Amino acid sequence: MELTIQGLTKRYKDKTAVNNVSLTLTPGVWGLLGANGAGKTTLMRMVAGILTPTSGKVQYDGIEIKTLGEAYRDVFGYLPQNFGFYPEFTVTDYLQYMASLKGLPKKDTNLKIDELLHQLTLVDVRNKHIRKLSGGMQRRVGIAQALLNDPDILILDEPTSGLDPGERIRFRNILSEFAQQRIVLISTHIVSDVEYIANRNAIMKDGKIIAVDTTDELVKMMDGKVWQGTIPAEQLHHYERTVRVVSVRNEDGGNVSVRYVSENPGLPNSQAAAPRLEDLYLWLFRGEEVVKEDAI
Amino acid sequence: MKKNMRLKLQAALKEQPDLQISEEHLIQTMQASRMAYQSRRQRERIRYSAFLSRQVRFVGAPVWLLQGFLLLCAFWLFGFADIGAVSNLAPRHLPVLLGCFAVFIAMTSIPFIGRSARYGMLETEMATRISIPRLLLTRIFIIGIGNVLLLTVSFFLASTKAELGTGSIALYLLLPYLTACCGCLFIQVYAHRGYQGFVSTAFCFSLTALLFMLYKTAPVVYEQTSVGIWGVLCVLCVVILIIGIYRLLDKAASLDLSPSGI
Repeated sequence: MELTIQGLTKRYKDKTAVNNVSLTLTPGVWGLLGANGAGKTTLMRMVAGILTPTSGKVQYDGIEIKTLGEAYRDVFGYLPQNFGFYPEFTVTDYLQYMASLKGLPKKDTNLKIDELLHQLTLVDVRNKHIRKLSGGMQRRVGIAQALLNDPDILILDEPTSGLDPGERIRFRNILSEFAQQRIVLISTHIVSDVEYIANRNAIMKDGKIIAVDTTDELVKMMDGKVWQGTIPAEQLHHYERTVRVVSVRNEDGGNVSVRYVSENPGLPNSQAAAPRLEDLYLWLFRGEEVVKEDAI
Repeated sequence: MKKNMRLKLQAALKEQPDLQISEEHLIQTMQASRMAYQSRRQRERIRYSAFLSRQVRFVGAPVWLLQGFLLLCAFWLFGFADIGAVSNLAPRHLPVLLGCFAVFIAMTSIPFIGRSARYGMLETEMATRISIPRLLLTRIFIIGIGNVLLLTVSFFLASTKAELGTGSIALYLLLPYLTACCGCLFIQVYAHRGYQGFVSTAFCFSLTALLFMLYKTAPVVYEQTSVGIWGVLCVLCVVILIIGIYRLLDKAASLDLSPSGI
């Protein structure tokens, strides 16, 4: 099983959202990392077949998805970034509606819905209106609809936004289990979401894929560029202008421990630290916003 | 099927100039293709008729409820000889009443046609097996069933009450109905997504006002002598309606999540 993206480009009037992207997705969890506006959603929509590329093509096992049509959608699950629902729908109504759109036979629909409601701990709210659920629960309903047709290819655009840390961990586990022999592509700007579950990551910036590799290999790129140093708290503001700070922790005696990325140690008495994917992200997206798990 | 496959393979192989095509290679390729096809996971999927019947619950129920309310109004307006509203009015009022009522029948579709975009469901629905044009056609069909029933009931009720010919009653109902449908369809195609419902409602109310104004200022429009013009306009509206549906489906097929559209 292989999903091949070849020279995919999407141009709008005055902007190129996705610029000549080529990528071959094989079974496993793929993380698509990038800052807001990097072109992740546009790329995802084109892979989902709901946005026509300006040029380039997407092939599933060597056949263009346009040619495959319904056959592609049969094996495809998609959770868009902006998840909507009809206000009169309960959780079960919504899943039954989506099941009918996905062409699932009635006898399979109820079984599958029960299974997913258990998996995503939505059993207690199955008869509640979606509009009355919390953002995290609504997101889980969205994930459930994407999994309804037991897809071979699962595309999730910012799936964890609105989930609390516990839900996020549960989601990661479900996904890791689900991804066996399937292609799962998760777009996110929350690095920790994909750090633990993605087999491979593609990093996107300004509409282009700038790096593709396993998490370990990508992290290796940061060897010798991640540092940790302790400075008096009042000097933090000064050093923030000279180095890219990843995290700050308060220490005893009015000091702060600073983790930062830099070609050379920028703080006195700095020691090299073990790099993480988040460090690479911060390194690649210098000057752009970083969303840390704690901040969500 | 086998013949088609053979022809396709031959055509594909002929595109490779250096390749020697033999019967043996063709058979081997066909066998390999068949095995690859059979090794894929087989998925059972419902037919369109089953999909349509399942949509009744989600689309039919709310729209038919609204149309049911209008049906009661039809009985109240045209139905009861002695207690009905029309019986208290002069028969000359009936054409404009029929026209306005027909516009209200057409208006029942407004909340249901563009709701995918309004509630942010479009992207999720687009990524499913059923295409957006097909989903739209299904909705139009389900809404249409109710509308046809309403128009028919109104027609029969009015026929028993008025001295107008059945042909005239049909035209007084159909022309405003078709005009409202055409307007709403084109608004659906061309108006900005966020304003379609509002613009369509405004259009229908304007149409009702126009019908009433014509009745007040140019009553000749509703006289028997004008029936021929109503007939011609009706045919014209049917043509425009077909074009409108075609444009709407065409737009839906190439939707690309543009701000204007479904």
